[in-house]
Amino acid sequence: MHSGIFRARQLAVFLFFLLSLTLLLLRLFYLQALRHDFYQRIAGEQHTVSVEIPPKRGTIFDRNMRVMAVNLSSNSVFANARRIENKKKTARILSSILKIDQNILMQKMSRDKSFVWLKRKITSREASAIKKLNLTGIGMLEESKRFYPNKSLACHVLGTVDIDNTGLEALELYYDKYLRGESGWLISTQDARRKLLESYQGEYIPSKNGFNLVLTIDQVIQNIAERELYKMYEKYNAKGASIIVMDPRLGDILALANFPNFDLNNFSKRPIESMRDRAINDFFEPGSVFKIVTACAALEEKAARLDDKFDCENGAWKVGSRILHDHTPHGIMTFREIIEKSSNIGTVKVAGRFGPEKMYHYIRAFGFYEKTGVDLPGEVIGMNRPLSRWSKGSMLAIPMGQEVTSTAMQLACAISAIANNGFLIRPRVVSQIVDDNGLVVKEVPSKITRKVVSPQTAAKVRGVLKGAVETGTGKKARIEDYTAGGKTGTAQKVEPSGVYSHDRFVASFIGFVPVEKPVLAIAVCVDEPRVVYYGGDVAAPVFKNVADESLKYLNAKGR
Amino acid sequence: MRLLRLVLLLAFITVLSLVYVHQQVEAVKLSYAIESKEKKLKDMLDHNESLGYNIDNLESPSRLEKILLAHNIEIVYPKRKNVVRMARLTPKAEAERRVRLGVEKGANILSAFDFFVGRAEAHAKEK
Repeated sequence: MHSGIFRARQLAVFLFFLLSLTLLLLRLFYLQALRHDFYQRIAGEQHTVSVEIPPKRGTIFDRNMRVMAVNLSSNSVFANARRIENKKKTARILSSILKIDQNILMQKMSRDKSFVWLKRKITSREASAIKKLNLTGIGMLEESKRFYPNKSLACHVLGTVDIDNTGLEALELYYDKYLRGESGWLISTQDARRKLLESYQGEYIPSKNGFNLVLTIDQVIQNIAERELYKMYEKYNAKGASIIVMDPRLGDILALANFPNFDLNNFSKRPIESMRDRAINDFFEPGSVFKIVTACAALEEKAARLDDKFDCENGAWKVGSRILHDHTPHGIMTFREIIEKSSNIGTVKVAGRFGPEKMYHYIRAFGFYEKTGVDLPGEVIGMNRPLSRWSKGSMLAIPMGQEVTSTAMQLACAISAIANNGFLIRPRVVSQIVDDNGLVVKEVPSKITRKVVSPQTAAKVRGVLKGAVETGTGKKARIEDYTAGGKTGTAQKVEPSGVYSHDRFVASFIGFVPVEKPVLAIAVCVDEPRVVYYGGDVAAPVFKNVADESLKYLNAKGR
Repeated sequence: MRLLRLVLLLAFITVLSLVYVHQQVEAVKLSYAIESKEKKLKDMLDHNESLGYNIDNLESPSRLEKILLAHNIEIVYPKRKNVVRMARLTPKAEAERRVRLGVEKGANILSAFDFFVGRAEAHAKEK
């Protein structure tokens, strides 16, 4: 009886286990065979991870391979809002470290998200302070941040990048496609804590770092130019100022500076006014510096010789309803003296010998109707009317630099053409694009745009401009150790009502050194200098100081 | 006999499985070690880069100028009249000058006999 019950029980247990095992096997078969693809996909998603490998943005070097912009590692703070225990306390602590309003942090942490950026690209001091606290739910990720070792130096040439390292301005924007590089990808296996397991690495596509730029800018000359321009900018309380230092033989921009400027490492705090690259974005009536175009036209067309005499009407000349004035009254003067002393009346009379068609032709030839082609974004052309829209009075204004507009860059190119035997050259800021190993990826060659005047005419004008510095209006540009040539300009600005202002001027000086074999061409333009406003007083000394120091730095031969 | 074979087979499979598991564990351990070293390498490279940046920052011309001005040191380029340029001699002229000054002996037909007159020793003593 008992043994029967015992066997029955045994059988029941056996059947129970057999049934359980069968069920388990069936379940196993279901999972392993029937739902194989589904679960394999889920497991793959959990174990396999594809990681983006960000590229390193290219470095920017000056012409002597000194670093001007570089990318360094930086930390960014994020919050896993679901894991933060005491949000108010965490926000208060982070607020004092990150210098962010506590309410803003609280708002971010209140979101029901596992990942919220709190602040990106923080300083190393901020990062170490947060690491020490070891706050629950607060983490840091490594990112790459752009740094500029010279802070504000050449800020308008280098430009800035956004938080994701995309170029926003100047060279950072213009050459962004070369600088940014290409992301790579790594497919790997990760453990339960999301740590990558190197031994189980799958497909690997390495990132391509951005190419490096080699500029034509010389850090030392740039510093000299900025220092001297700033001194003048402060002294004359100017609204703005620009300087371009150029090698007229190759079109290399050795320095380009504007004021006001800004610190590239703190560009979010900069005033909007300081962002503009005035040298290529602002156009203005050039005034007397434009007389170099009239002089070239007259000599090239053989309309006047340098010793031809003109009556400068003792400073006031009535033509129709208009009266032309000279700054200083002059009587009979030679063509050479007219340019040296910057007589408006004499210049207009010289231009009358060759007429508007030739004047228009030479303005075009010098590039005032087109972009210079400099490799910087946002260059403007100016507002110059076609010949068909010139009025009868245009030939009383244009030869002396009124009714025409120009940028500082266009003026620099025009004076470079005279320094370069009459060949107008395209300015360039980048000379080479190289990879990490120094191999040249792309050359940015010097390019002659066109021949504007003959070498003989250019040499004659150089002689006249030397006279302008030695004995004319540009005496303050005279350099003791080198011969210099140049032209001063003081242009009245146009009021919104359309009349010329009597208290707002653009002072300028364009010139080259040494006269015998020009190495540097320099354009200095000052917007609204106060009290003193003549180009010869405001801009010429900047030219002198920059040219003198730069030539000595370049070890150029002197007098 | 059959049972023995079965036991041996099971033992072999077990050992093989253990080797496989051990291999996988070692691979994971190695991964962690590699990751740790790579992180260290990256940190060091980053540190090197930031030090390079600091050097560039310290060598910045505007910064150096500010420091000099703060210490009332004003450095200017010399005037050209204050600079005396020494003409550089050609290698041939330099050799002749050295012979003239007696620093080096000239090449002549008798120089082959220098060995016998002890000039070599005299040169050795010249300091």
